Amino acid sequence: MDWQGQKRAEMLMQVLLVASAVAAFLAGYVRADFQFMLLVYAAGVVLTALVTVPNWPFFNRNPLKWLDAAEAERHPRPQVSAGAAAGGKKKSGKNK
Amino acid sequence: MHSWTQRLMGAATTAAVLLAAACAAASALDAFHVPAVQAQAHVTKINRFHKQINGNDKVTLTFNVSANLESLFTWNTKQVFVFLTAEYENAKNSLNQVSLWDHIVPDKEHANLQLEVKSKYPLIDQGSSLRGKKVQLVLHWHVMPNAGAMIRNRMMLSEFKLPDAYSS
Amino acid sequence: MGFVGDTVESIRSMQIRQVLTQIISLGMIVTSALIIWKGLIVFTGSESPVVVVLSGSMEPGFKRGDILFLHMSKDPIRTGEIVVFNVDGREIPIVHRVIKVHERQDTAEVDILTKGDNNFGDDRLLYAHGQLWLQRHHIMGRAVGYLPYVGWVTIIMTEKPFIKYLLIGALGLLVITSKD
Repeated sequence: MDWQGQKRAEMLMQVLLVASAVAAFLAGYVRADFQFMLLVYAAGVVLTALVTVPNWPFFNRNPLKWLDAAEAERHPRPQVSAGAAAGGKKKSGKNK
Repeated sequence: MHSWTQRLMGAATTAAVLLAAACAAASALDAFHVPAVQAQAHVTKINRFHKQINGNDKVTLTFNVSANLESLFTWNTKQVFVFLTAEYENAKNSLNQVSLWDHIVPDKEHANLQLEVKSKYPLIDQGSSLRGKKVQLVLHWHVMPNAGAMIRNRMMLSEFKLPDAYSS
Repeated sequence: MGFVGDTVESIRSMQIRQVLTQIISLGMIVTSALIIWKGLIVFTGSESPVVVVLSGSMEPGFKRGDILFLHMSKDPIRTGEIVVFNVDGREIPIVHRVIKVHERQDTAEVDILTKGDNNFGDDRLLYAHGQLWLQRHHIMGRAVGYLPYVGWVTIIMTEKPFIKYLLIGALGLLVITSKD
């Protein structure tokens, strides 16, 4: 799942769940049936899970564009000395 | 790291919170529900009135009850527990509340009661103060919800006077 | 030698810090749960604000595994209320309905008799030997709110300790492995 897809999945999950809770509450209230509310809500939750949990192709429309290997070679990284490398490693380790 | 297990956990957590919110909302709506209970109860017969060996007065009664509890039911009502108490004051106690009869109403269809019953629990005093005592009959109900807050209320019904002498 | 020592040192210190943060975040979870529980105790005035129904003696109102929210106020106890009480010599508190109340004229002391809705007789058989009435100090709280089924989690965990350790292990693993 790409970045856009993750954002979309979270949004969809919350919107769908709130919508199904509201719909279930209204349906239960109108029919004066508590059990009916639970059933409608359960259906909503299952639907939400089906839509947002699996990694559907729908969530992978904006793949990350990695730098091409050939392109990367044309712009080599600046060389670093051994001592500086240790310091850099330490820093990146901490930030992890 | 955005795996399907994480999304499932997230969905489950949100779903549980929303379910709790829906139950709370249903219970909150009940607080605005104003029931109109109609009820009457009269003692028709005093079956036995005597003093137990331990010195406490004991009475068994027959009475009729008519109560319409349909208006207590909302969509969040699981059952209504209804009961009748005898209440009186005497020299020892500022309040004596003794259940005489109770009944569980499972749904609205069975909420219109017309009964003539014997006291399920005898009226037993703490001591011997019941001769000639005026006793208040009170109908109580306890609405038990599918989820949320329980509601209790009561209604004063008729008074009756116990005889001045034991029956046996 | 200096370079290798430095690297090892940096890795070691990093791990200690990570372990420390994990311990602290675990501690935060435990303490916040404790804060919520103790806060509820203060708020409701009852020493155990939430109880799980363990027996079927109040069916069909309360089934095994339902949970009740308790409140303990200064209000007098009246018939019809569902109270949780402790009997001397019994460890597990009982949830039953009050069917008789006798309140004294002068001292406002109170004698209470309870009964389970689903039981045939009153609770004198459950009380301590020779005890006829409950007093105020036996009562831990009155039930004011109700939620079905939620208590099954604790029932399963107390009856099948294996599942409890599994759950605690899984949660701990989740906390420890989750980075950042």
